[in-house]
Amino acid sequence: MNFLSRYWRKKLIGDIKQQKLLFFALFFLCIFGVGSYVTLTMGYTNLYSSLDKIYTKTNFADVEINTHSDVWYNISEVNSFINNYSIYYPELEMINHRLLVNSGYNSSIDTKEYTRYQLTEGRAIGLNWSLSATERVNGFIYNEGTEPVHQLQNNSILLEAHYAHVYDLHVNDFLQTKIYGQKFNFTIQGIVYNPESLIVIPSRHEFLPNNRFGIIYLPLKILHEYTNLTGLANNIIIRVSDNLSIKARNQIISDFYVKLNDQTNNSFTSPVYQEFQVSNWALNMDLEEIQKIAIALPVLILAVASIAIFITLNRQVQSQRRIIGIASSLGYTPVDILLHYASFSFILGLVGSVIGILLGVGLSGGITWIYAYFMLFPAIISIELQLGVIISAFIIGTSITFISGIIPAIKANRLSPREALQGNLMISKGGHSFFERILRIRSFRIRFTVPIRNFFRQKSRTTATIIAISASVMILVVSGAFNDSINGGISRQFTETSQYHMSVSYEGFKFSDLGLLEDISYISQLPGVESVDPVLEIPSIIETNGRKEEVLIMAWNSSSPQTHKFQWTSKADQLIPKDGLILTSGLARSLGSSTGDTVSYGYPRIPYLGSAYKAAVTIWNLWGGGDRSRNETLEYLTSLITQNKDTLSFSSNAEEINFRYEDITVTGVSEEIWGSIIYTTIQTLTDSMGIDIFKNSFLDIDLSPCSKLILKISNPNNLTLLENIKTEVSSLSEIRSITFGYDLRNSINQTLTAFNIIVIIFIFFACILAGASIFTTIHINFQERSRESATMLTLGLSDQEFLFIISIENFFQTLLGILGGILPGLWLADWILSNALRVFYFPIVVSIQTWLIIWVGVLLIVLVSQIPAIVQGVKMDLAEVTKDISR
Amino acid sequence: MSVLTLINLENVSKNYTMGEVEVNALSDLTLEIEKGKFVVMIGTSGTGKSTLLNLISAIDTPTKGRILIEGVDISFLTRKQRAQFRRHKIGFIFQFFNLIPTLTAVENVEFGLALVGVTSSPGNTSYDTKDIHSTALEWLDKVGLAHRANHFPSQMSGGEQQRVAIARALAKNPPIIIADEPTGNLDFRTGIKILKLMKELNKETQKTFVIATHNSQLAKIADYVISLQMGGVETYEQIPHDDLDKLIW
Repeated sequence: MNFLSRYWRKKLIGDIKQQKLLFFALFFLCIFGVGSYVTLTMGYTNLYSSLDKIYTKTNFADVEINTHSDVWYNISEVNSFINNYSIYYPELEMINHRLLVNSGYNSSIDTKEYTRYQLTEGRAIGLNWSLSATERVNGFIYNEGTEPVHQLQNNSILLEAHYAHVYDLHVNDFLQTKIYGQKFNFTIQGIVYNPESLIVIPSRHEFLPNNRFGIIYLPLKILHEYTNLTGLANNIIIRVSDNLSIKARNQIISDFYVKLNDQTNNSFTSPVYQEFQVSNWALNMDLEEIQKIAIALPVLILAVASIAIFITLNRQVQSQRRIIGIASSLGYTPVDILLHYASFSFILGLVGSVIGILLGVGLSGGITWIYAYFMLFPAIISIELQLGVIISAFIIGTSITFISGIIPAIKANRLSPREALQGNLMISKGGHSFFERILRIRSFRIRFTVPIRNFFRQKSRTTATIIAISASVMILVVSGAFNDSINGGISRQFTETSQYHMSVSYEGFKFSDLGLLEDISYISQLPGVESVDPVLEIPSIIETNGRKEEVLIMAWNSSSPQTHKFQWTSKADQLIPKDGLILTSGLARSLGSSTGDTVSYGYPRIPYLGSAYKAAVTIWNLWGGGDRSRNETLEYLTSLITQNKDTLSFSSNAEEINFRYEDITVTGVSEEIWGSIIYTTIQTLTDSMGIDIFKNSFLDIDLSPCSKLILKISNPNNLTLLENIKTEVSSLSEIRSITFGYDLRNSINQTLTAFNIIVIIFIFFACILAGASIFTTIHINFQERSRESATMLTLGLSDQEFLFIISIENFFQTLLGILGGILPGLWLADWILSNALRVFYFPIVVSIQTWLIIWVGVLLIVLVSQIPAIVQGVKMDLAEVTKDISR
Repeated sequence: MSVLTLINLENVSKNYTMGEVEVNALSDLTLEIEKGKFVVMIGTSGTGKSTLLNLISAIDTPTKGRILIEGVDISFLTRKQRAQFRRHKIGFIFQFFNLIPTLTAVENVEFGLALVGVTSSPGNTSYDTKDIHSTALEWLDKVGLAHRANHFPSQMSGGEQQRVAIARALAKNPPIIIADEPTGNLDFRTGIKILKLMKELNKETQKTFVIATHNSQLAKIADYVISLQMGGVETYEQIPHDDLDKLIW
C-alpha cells in the first residue's frame, strides 16, 4: 500500500502542520459536533434510565383515577367491586386507595432582614400504611429517615423533599399544618421523594414547578379522623402487569373505568395514564426537548464541519496539482492518490470522533448530574456508558467527515499527470456582481467593487459560509426568541394582565351568603387593600370543531375584574358578558376558535348542593320564614356544607354526577401565556351548575361559590404592608394559603435564571459555530486569493484598506447569513415552543435588544474570526506570493 | 551621487534563510540608476535580480547598507511607510500580469489610480470616480486596449493582460517602473510587442524602468545593462540600442 508509505505519511503530517490553524478549526468542528451529540444523547438517555430506576423502585402507578372535586367514594364498596372485577382482569396487579385533601402550612424562611412566615398551600395524602414497600403503588425514596415507617407515630408525617429543601426542614422538625380548618403540629419523620412529584407541579394548568407546594403523607386512617371522611377516598392508583402493551393497558383501564363509574354514580373523572401524570409529563417534555436538541445541534455543527472539510480539501487538491502530477509521473497509482487525500478527512473524522466521544462521555455525566441537582432529584442518578451512543457517534463522525473529503480526493485521483504538471496560470473568471447587474450601477468606488465582485465569486463556498452563519443565527434566534417570548410573556402576564398582589385560597368552596361577602367586606377595609376579586376555579372540558381540551375555568364575580386586564387580540373582543366566555390565545389556537364562535363546555355539578337545598327548605319552613328563618337556614347550611358535606357527597349518597355540556359563545380572546384557561363570570357558571336553585327560590340565599380571593394592594412592594394584611386575612376561617405576588415573581425569576443559563450556553455554541466556520472560509479564501492579495498590497494598498476590502465581503456574507437564519430560526422557535409547552402559549417575540445582539454579535464574531487570516495575509512574503501561479 | 541619480544603493547586502540554509542573495552591492533610463538587469537564476528589485521597490528591506530613492533612505521604513512608498513611487509589472481577475481592464487600471488619485497639476489631486475612470481609459488607449476596457482578464490574451498591467503601473505616474520578467510568460511575438510598448512609454513619459530578466537578448534594447553574478554587480554598462525587430530568444 503505497499511500501508507513513510513519504506519504510524512507529507500528510507536514500538510497538517503547515495549515495547523485551519486543521485545528476543522478538528474543533468535528469534536464539537460529535461531542455535543454524545453529551446530549447520553445525557438524556441517562436521565431516562434514572427515571426508570426511580419509577421501578417506587412502583410508579400506570394509571390513576380521581373522583370529581368534592366527591368521595366508599373504599369497601369499591374494593368489593374491584375484587370481583380483578378475577377477570389479573393484569391489574396492584390497586391502592388514597385520600387527597387540600392542606396549608405555616412555614418559616430566612430572608436577609428577618424570618418570614409563609402560609403555603399543598396536599395531604392519606395512604394505607400497613402496606409494605413492595405492595405500595407510588412509594418513596428516603432522603432523610429510613424505611420501615409502618409505626408512623401519631402526629407524624413524611414530607416531600422539594418543600423540605425550600424551607430547610429536617427529620424531627415540626410542620404547622392546616387540614379542613384544623391546625396540627406534625413531626416530620421522614423526608421523601415520590414518583408523582419529582417535579412539583400542583396541576396541569400551572406553568412553573412550585417547590413551595408542600405534600405530606400520613396514614389514611389518621387523615380520615382529621377530615371526618372515615371510610372514604378519592384517588385510585393502579399498577398493571409489566408485559402489557400500552394499547392493552388502555383497553383494560377503559373497561375498568366505565364499570367503576357505573357502580359509583359517575363519580370518577377520566383516568390519567402514567405518561400524562403531571410530573412525569413535565419531565418527559424536558427530556424530549433535550432529545430534539441532541439531534438538531450536532446535525447543524457536523453539516458545517463537513462543508468546511470539503472546501479545505478541495482547495488543497487544487494547490497541490503539481505534487499530484509528480507523484503520478513517479508511478504512484490513482488509488494511492485518492487514498492519500481521503486520509485527511479520515484522520479528521477519526481523531475528532475519538476526542469528541471522550469529551462527550465526560460531559454527559455532568449534564445528568446538573439537571438532577437543579431539579432536586433523589440520588439514584444513573450515569452509564452507552455503547450504542458511542458506536453511533463514531460512525456518524467518521462517515460524515470521510464522505465530505472523498469528492476532492476523487478529483485528485482523476487529474492526469500531464495536466497536473503543466502548472498553467489559473485565472479565475471575472464578472459583474449581482448588485451591479440588478441595480445597473457601474461606478462603485473601486474599493467597493473588489469585495462586491468577490462576493459569490466561489458560489459553493459563499453559499456554504452563508449556510454556516445562518445555522448559527438560527440557534441565536431560537435562543433569543425563547428568552424574550418566555420572559416577556411571563412578565406581561404577571404585571400587565394579572394585576394581583396577593392571592388567598380557601380550603374548598366559600359561598357568598355563607361568609364570603363578609370576608370580602372585611378585607376591603384593611389598610393598603385597593380591591378584592372573588374567583371560582374549576376544571372543565371544552369541545369544538371535533377538538377537545382539558381546561381550567376561572370565573370572576364581575364582567370587569379589577385584578385582571384582558389583552384583547381583536377589535370584536369584549369583557365577559353573561353567558359568554373568553379564551386565552393559546387555547383559541389549539381549538381553532375565535371571537363569535360557539363552543361547548362541560360543567361539573357540586354534588351536595341538591341535598343541601332540600335540607335548607325544610329548615326555612320549620322557622316559618322571615329574618329568623333565613339566619337559622344559613347557620344550618354552614354546618352542613363546611363540616358534614361528606355525608352528602360520597358516591352512594350523592346525586348522580353528570358532567353536562352546554353551548356558549366566545366573546373574546385574550393574549396570555396560559394555553388551557377560559374566563367567564361566576354568574354564568353557577347558572350552569345549578347553584341558582337557591337564588331562584323563596329562600333568597346567594350560594355563588368562590375558591380564591385576588387582592390588589396599593403598594405591592412594601413587604411590611403585605405581611400586615396577611396576618389579618389569615385570622379568617377556612383560609388555606396566602401567596404574595412578590414571592411568585421571585420564584419565577429564579426559574428564569436557570433558563437564561441554558440560553447563554446556546448563544455560546452559536458563536463558536459562526466563528469556526467563518475562520475556515476566510482562511481558504486567503489561500486561494493570496497572489491577488499580495498584488494589491504590493501596489501600495495599506493594511487598513486591505482589511476594509475583506471586511466588506464578509459583511455581505454575514448579512445574507443573518437574513437566511432569521425566518427558519423564528419558525423553529415557534415550533418548539408550541409543541414543547403544549398547555402554555408564548407568541414568538424578539426584542430590539435581542435583534441588536444577534446582528451586532454575529458581525463582531465574523470580524474577529477574520483577524487571524488577515494577519497571516498581510505578513505574507509579497515577492514570493506575487510570483506563485498556484495561488 | 549625481543630480540625475534616482536610485542609489550603497553597500547593500541581503541575507535570508531558505529552510535551514542561509542564503547570501546580495553582498555589499553599490549601484546608481539615473532618472528616465531603461535599465535591464540580467543574470542567471539565483544571482539576486529579484532580490534587488524587491529592495528597490521596498517590498523587502536590506540586511545591511542604504537604499536611497530620490535622495530618501527607504532602508528602514515601517511596513506602513513602505506601502505608502510603493503606492506613490513604484509601478509594478509582473511576470504573471497579476491583474485582479474580478475587475475589468479599465477597473484594474483604476485600482492603482484610486490609491493615489489623478494629479492634473501640483497640489491638485482628484479622487473623483469620473476623473479616475477617464484617466484609466486614456492609459488603456495609450497601450492600445481602449476597445477591451470592459473585458475581464480571463477574456484577454497574455499580451493584452500585460498591456493592462503596464497601463496600471504607469497610470498612477510613479517615477520608477519595476518589471520582473515582464515577457517571461509570453510568446516571442507578444514579448516583442510588450517590450516595444515599454520602450516607447519610457521615452514618452521619461519614467525610469528597471527590468529584471534572465534573457540576455533584452539587454540589446536597454540604456544600461546590469549584469549580476553571485549577489554582486559583475558589469554595469551603457549599450547602444538595437532594433527591437531583430531581437530573438
